[in-house]
Amino acid sequence: MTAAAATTARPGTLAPLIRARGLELAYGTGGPVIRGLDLEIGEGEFVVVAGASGSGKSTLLGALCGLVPHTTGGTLAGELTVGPCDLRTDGPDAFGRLCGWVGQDPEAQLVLGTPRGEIALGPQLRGQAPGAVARAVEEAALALHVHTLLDRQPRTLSGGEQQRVAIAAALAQHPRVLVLDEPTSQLDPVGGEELISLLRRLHEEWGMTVVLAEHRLERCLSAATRVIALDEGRIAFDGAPADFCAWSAIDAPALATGVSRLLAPHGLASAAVTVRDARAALASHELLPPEPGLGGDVARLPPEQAAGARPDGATARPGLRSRLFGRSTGADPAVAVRGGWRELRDGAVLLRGVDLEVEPGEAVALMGRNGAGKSTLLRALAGLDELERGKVERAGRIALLLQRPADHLLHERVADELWDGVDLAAAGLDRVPGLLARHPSALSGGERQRLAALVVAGRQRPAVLCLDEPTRGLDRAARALLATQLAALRAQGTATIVATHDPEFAAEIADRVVLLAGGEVLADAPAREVLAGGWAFATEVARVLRGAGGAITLEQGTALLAPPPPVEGAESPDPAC
Amino acid sequence: MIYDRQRTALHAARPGAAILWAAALTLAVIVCPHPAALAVLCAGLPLLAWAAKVPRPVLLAAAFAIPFALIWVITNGLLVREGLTVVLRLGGVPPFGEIDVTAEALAQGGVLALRGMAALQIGLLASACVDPDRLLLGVRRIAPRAGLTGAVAMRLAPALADDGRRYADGLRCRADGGDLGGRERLLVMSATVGRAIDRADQVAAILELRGLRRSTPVAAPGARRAPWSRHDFALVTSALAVAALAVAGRLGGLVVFDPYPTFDAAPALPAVLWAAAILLVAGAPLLARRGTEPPR
Repeated sequence: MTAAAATTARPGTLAPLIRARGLELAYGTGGPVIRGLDLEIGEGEFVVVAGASGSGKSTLLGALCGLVPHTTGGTLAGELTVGPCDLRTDGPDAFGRLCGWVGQDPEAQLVLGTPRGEIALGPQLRGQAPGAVARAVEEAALALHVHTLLDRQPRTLSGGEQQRVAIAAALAQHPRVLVLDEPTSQLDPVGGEELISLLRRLHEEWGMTVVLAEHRLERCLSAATRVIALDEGRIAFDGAPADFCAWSAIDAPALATGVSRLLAPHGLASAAVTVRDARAALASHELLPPEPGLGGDVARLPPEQAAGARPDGATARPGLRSRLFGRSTGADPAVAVRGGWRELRDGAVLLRGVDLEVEPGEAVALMGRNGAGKSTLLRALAGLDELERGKVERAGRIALLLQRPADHLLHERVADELWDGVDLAAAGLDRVPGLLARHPSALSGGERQRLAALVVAGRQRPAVLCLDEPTRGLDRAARALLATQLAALRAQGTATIVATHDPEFAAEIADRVVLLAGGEVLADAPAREVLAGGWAFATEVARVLRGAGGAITLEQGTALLAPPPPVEGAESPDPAC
Repeated sequence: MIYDRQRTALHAARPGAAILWAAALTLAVIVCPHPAALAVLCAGLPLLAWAAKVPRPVLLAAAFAIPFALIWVITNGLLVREGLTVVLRLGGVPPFGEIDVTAEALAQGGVLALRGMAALQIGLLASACVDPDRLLLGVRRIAPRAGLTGAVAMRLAPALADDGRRYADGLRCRADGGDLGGRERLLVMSATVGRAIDRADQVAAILELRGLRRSTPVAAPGARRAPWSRHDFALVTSALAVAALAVAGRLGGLVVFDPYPTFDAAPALPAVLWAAAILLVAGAPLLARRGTEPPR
């Protein structure tokens, strides 16, 4: 369903709760970010808002809560109403009576000293009686599983825990609409799926209207009743998730999920909403390859897609396991940690005897749940934190890109961060208009991430570049540019170690995946072995194919499936997008 | 914020009772000019902190205060021209003129320094044991906006400190980074201050969304008053007893000390016993070990 016909509430929902007519929003002197939007969202819908970075998702969500333009500044034309609240006359206080809001950075939303105070604040400020406040805290805390965290300091909570507390604080006000801007960006795959399940439960059991913006659509499409895709502030698509999968695979491959693009050549993209549907569609067309142990193996892949080959043409390097068995390249490691043990004063152990060796030019992905020890290991490698036991051997300087790129960009102008002769093209920044004169905060998330990577790597090539959650909040195009930047560094011999929750990114860039849990190394193996063989840390393609042929990337999955039959009117999606 | 959640009577008691207890101790320090009694109090306060399971901040405060105490003694000796027992003649020192250091001035400086040190220890002991959120919740009953502003400010300060640490890390973990010099530290400070406005902006937006500008009156948070616990009673009783002892000691002449023009002091032994009694009475409630989980 396209934009022209799709601005009304879905059938089966109550009367429209959110209504926009000719809505235009702009910041400062720039052009409108939202352009002439007509939209109706009924009470009880679960709407996913999709779109590339800069398409207007966050602005639309901010407007639904009255934050844009009332607290951010900017201009408004047209109308937007949420229930009785009108954006032209009402601000966040009025909208806050109906809307709960959870932003991208949960830490920034926690304003009091404990989660208990945080959750209670909204009901207290709204004049609820003490008993009602206590009940609201209890219910929200139990719903979000944060009842054991209520008296801890927010700074001691992990990103995922902070996210849950922020959602609990929003829920405690019993909003009719819950607005979430990339709520899974800080969460590991399991945590992300748990959060989406919780939102689905709130939606189904409480009848709550949920409006959620996400880049990782594969996580939330199965819970959604409707998808709205924005393109440069306009609605490019509005329809059911299955229709979105079919539409995006052909018309907007940059938004399409991996499974949509995998199925699109066979005309099955509309079945890509859930893994179960995708497998059923493949099976019904006799396209499903045999699973490992049932006749499926890597040999079925073409030679250029077989184990060890990566999409960018680089060859996978042997991991620690292969080196232990005498197949080492013989090169001195770029960095090695032996028996790394890190513990805190309060007794918490973050790393428990970690061994890791990375060779020059090798790319390693660190994966694991929130709190597994990934960031701690990177900080120890970079020398920011000392190990209590064990040692780190470095062949040269180690640079670390922290989770928030803004932490590296402290000057007022981009030009002040750079040096003479810097290669902006290598970071894909040479075509950003007015880059040097801009404030780093005025760049998009992807631009800021690449600039920070450039600044951190510095003038002289580091022996190792570590990156902590570099794809957080990036759309697919920005992730692809970052991968290109990393490939260029690898080509010069820089080893890269990436802590990530993004299996697709790991599959794209890593030779080897190290899986951490509780500060210990659970697995250290070639990327294909880890990302195709499991569930929580498998790529979407691998989940659909259940590890058949060891396919973990779209290209490998496409190669594994039988040649597609010609589908009338269908165009082949661009796999590079 | 140095609050350290532990299971002791001082942590478990309501903030008002704990603050009253600390205030009574401070009163004892203020009314007592006797150096021997003050020395006993200064030495005994870390014991109270140990009983409250927060010895670290109090000991650190004592260590931090020692050099300042010495400076105080020396400064008082140099600047105060009272007392008759000259211990050092410095002669003419322009522009101060003739300077004679007297034992009385040095002793009075010592008394002031001991008072400062004891007050600092008591303050830090209370900070480590009284939950600021519970305290501000109490303030919000009386002045809602002031209490909320205080709570947000207390949250903002460590948040900015965290920002500063992260920015410093951001510089350190560059490939051409390393230890931070003065220029880098200045950059970190300017970025932290510069972005404080963004932080405040975020907080303001969150508060507004949660209803800070509501038209209805704010509910008195926790207006459903919790019953007094035995720790509350014990601490209040202890505070009243400490205050009574302090006043009685002063009025009874147990802790008299007048340095000028020559020393006029009560005997040391009664003063020391008085200080020991203060510490015992103050410390008695801290011996309780049951029911000391701080309330949620």
